Amino acid sequence: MLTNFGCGPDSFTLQYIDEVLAGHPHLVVEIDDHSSDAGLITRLEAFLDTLTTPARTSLQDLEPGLETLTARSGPSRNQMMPSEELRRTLDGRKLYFPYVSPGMSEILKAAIRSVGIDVEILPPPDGRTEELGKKYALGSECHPFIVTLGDFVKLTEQPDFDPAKSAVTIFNYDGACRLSQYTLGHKLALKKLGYENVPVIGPIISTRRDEFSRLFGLRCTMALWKGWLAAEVLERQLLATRPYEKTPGSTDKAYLDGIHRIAHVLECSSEFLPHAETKLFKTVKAEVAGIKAIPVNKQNGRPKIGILGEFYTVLNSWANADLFKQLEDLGAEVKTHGIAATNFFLLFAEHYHAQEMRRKRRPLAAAFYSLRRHWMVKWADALEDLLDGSSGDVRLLHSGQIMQDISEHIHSDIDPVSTAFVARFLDFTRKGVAGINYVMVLNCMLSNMTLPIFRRIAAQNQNLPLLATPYDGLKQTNTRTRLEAFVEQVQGFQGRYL
Amino acid sequence: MKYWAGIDLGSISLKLVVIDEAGTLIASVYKRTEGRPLAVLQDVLSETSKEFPEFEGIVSTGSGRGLIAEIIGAKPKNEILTQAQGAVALTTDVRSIIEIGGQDSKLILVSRDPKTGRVAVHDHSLNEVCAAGTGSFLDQQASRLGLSIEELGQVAMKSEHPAFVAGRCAVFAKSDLMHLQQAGIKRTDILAGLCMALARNYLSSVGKGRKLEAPINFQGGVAANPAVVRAFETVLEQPQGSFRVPDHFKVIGALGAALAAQKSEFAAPFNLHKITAQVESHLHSSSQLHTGPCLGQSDLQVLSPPKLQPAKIINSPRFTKDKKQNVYLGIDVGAASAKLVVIDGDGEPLASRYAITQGNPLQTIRTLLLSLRKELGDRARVRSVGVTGSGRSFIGAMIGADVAINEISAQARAALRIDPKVDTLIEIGGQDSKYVRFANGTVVDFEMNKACAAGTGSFLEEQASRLGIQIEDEFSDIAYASRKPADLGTRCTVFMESDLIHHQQNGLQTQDLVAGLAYGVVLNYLENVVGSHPIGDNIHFQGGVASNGAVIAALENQIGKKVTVSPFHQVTGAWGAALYAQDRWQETETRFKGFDFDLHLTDMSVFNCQGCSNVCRITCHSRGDADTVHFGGICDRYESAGRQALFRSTPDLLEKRQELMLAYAQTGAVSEENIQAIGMPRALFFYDHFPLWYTFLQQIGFRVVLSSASDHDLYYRGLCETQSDSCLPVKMLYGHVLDLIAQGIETIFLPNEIELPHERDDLKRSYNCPYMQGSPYMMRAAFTGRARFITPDVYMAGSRENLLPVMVETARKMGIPRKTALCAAKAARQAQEDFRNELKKTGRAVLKKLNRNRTVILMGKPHHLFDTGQNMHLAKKLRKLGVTAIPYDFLPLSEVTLPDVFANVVWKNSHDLLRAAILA
Repeated sequence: MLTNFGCGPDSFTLQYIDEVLAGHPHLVVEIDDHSSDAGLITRLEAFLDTLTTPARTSLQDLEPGLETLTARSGPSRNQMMPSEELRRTLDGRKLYFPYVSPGMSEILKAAIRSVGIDVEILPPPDGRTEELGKKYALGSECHPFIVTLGDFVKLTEQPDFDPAKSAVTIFNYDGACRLSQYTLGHKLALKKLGYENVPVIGPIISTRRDEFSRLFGLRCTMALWKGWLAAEVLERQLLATRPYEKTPGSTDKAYLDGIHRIAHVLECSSEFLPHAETKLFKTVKAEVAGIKAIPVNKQNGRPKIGILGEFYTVLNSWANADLFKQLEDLGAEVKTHGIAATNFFLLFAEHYHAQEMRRKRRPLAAAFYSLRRHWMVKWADALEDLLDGSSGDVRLLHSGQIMQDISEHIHSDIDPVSTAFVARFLDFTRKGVAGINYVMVLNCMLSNMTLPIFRRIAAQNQNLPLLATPYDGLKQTNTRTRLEAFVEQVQGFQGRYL
Repeated sequence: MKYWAGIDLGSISLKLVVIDEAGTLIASVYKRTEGRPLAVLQDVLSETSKEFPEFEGIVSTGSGRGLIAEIIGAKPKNEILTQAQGAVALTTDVRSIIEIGGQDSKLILVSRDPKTGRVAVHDHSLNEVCAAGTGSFLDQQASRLGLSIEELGQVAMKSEHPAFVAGRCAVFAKSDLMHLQQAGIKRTDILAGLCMALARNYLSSVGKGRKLEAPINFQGGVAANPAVVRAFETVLEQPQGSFRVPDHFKVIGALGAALAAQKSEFAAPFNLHKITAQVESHLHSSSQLHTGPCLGQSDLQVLSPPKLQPAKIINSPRFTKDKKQNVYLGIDVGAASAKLVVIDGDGEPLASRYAITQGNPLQTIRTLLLSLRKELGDRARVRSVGVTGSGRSFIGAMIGADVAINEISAQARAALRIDPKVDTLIEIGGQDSKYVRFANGTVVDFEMNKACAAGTGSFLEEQASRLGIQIEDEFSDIAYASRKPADLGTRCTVFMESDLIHHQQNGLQTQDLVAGLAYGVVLNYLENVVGSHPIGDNIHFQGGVASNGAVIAALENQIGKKVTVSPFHQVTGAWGAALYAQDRWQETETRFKGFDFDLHLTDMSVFNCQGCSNVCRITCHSRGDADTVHFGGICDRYESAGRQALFRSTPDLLEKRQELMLAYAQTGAVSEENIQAIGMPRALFFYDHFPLWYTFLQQIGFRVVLSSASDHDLYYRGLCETQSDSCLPVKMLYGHVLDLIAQGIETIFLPNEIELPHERDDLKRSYNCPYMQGSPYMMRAAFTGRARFITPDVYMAGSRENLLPVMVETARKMGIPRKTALCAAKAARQAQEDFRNELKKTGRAVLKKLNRNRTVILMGKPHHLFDTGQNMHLAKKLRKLGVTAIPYDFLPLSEVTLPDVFANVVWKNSHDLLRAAILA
């Protein structure tokens, strides 16, 4: 089998083929832009020397240990609550989810707990996580996969880990990026570790399907939405306040306390929905006001830098080497899609759900999705209205506007994530940022595909400073050099054009 | 008079510049740090203090700026900015700056502010994850060839035909260099090829499609090399002499820093004696620093000498000069060294030799053969000779070997000879490292290092020499002294090297770095070579690196098992080759030309074979008319009669596929007059759907012009346009688009095929990969204003299938009536269906006559596997070995239903490959 460096699909397909061909001679050859024949011939000759005809694995042997729960298989009695299949699978087990960021993870935990599932967020990743992830991955997968795999393997190393009482979960996707393979990839690694009985739950969320709601129940989805948007609004206030705070650490503390309180309200909101919503809204309002009240010194205006890119790396301060604070230390104010990247994608995906249902001639389902989206937008608008000034200028983008904005640059059907990135990039240029930092993951297909498009848009906007920083867990010593020069460039741009 | 100083501490050198009140450079120092940055800083400051007792201000820059700032209180400033500032001070009109230093390469674009007239950086780029476009790359290659970096430039300038050396990764370049040397290519051409590789790599990994506006400055240490400057001009197709190498090009960063110092405010002047003392005191106290755990993997165990130290080879008592004896000779010509072993009839080694080739393998082999002869005397009769290693073809032909065997099989053969119960072989050599797994005395699995040399011996040597340490004499003892081995990261040599520099500049102790290197090699080997393959219990460790006790200790600590090291570990490849020679000896006369055969070449020439469109570059070595060997041909033209027969009796199904596909270009030819041309790149979608799109475009009245076939030139031309690190096939697409533009094509057809037809309706999604989907938009962004792209967005499957309407709409936009478009679309779909059926029919016919032992299925992505410019003529190489290779899409894939576990595998190509694997 021929492969080449950086191939996204092959980074997983090779593992699956290995599994299918277990015990059957096969050779993987990586051919890239090097011209030497000798290595190739050596491999071919050695391969031919090993050719024998051993017994091969049958497909019956292949399946056990690789099953994952990614979609609901049948109708559910109560659409609001988790499916029977999920409950059965999780009976007597604790569900573990990898840590992403305070806003994302705390809220997720609260939302899942609110529907009666025992869930725990794994500790934030560290060097050991990275090491374990690399050890059990093929190596050519993307960095978020490697880190989340490391999180799961680290879990299995804990002295009190009981495979019979544990299950793991991570979002799944059926777009063309590597994320679609995370669930099966994690399962394969757990199988190799001898934990094939640990269930892997990977609800598929895409433009076509929302299996998260079908598996975890609509009530959980709604709680997530409400919570994530609340955390997002709080985060935007954090980013607009922290660079100017008089007492270092005061904004972070207020933010984290706020997230805890929002999560608590979500988790305990078993009351009638509108009442719970009001309570949550009041809490968010109070927390935003709390951060706004932090004493600041805004005498020296800072240039604004927009950060966008691969969700996990943007959100996870360990994966991005604390990028936000680094840029703030260098004198910038940062804006990002933050958790909203996820929300934003989901919101955008919602637009497809209704379309898909109409195409399938299911008007009731289409109407349901349209209504649901309407509710989401309304809630987002209400929360975003709590913000003002610098914290209020980056808002969720609406589908119609996205489609209109991106049409010149990319087709919206290629991948909603790419579409979302392009739309946000354009939005940043309109919102007066003096530079954009594109956070990439090494070999990420969507990042590499969109980067040329971003370069073109930046050129069309008076050569807006654009820095693409790839992250893959390596301690790159020159990242700081780049960031310093970038901030200086941004300051120059601000002086000239803004 | 007042003075200011700038100090630039880079990865391999320290630069200091002194300026006066007028900003004029009045003194400068450039010194290599050789792993002792602080000691060198101390020397330089001490020397400078003789002339300048104090400075008004000091700014530090470069990767060590923070350390200097911390020790002497200088202000640190980013080197991108100091390089730009220095360059503008020397050459006010500069617009683009290429700066290539030891570890980092920079591209800095500056522009003049229309309002203030001030020059400012408006874009910049650094090398990201690869050091191939940096000075260290050249340093490494120069030292490999036994040259100083200055000599390299002078020698390379003499070349008229630079050899082709890959540049994407330092490792590939090293391998190329070695293979070129072993193929006898002239040193001047190899060196010039290296410079070209550096330029190409810089432009693709740092330039990333950015346009370099003139005037262009070339600065940094590498600018001293005229061959590199010439290479940049050649690659960018600029006239010679168009790049400027400014005065003081080596110290411009320090100059910029000094100028920055002049503009900064400092509390008090810097007394040189005082700051020199501060550096000295820091040097002495650094042993008390860094006592905390290392970053990352902090639990690396302390290394202790392994219980079983590798034994030295002693002369075999089995051999006596007095007795006539049949012997078998094995030769292993590796990347960095040559090994010879002579065995007796029982397969036991009688004598062995090992030497570093120093870039001249032929001469090394000759010396070793003569030395063996001296030891063996006249009574040893060589019955057969086996040769292995990466230079086996060339050396084998030159000395008259009877058997050429690949090095994996040779190493495995020796391991089995040493211990028939071995289950795992770990082999770490100079350039290559291998893993072999055995079951019941046969090889069942193997792996070699691919894109990375970090888990190899040459890495260890290079890094040790950076620290000024001898591998053989002192490395292990120093490593054993470490109480806290440093974590140097894993993966590529370059990253590890960066970390080494980083730690060095932070003053970490040498023994911790050395122990870290021992672990580094092991961790890289385990991660990159072994990966997820199992390691058994009876483990043998072979190769030159197995001499290193610290590496053995690190390996045992990491895998938690003991390993066995044979006294012959350095020469096991040659031993294995000798054993193969013995196995295959059938009482025939050996072709061996003798121990004292003169291996000097009388003639060496390189020519382009004009036999077909491949135009192979053939190297011909000659020792007179009767003794000529050729290398470099893809086909059988320059092979022996026996190999020609084998080649010709084996079908080439990749070529057959190409013929079947391109046959659709022959049908329904239209007049070329007054017909609008439309370009079609031979890339990506081309290998899936050529019959479909060609037929469609032709039938709606276009003259379809194809880009040239993929090759190195096309690829590297395109590389200068690539704006992100995608993958080989996408980078190749840039070259194809450029090629069409160069042919005068204004409109290029590049469909966005989002979803592809299913082989079977067992899965929901059947996507193309995002690069394939996004390629039209990437090209549109990259070639704005240079070409117009027709990019229909097509779903060929699923609920959104829209091929027919999209074809009609595409035609409508080009002014074609609906009726014509519909007819064309139907014919196009039929053509595609016919092509698919032809493939399956051919496949069925081949499968009927199958010889299972000599048949393999070829799997991959169509745009990679079926492009001869990318697949390195894989099918022809297999043909030479007498193996029939069946492309996976010749198989009846639609007969296979995929198991449910693969329900969310979203890519069409992955489905096909999984189906093919199940059929295998």
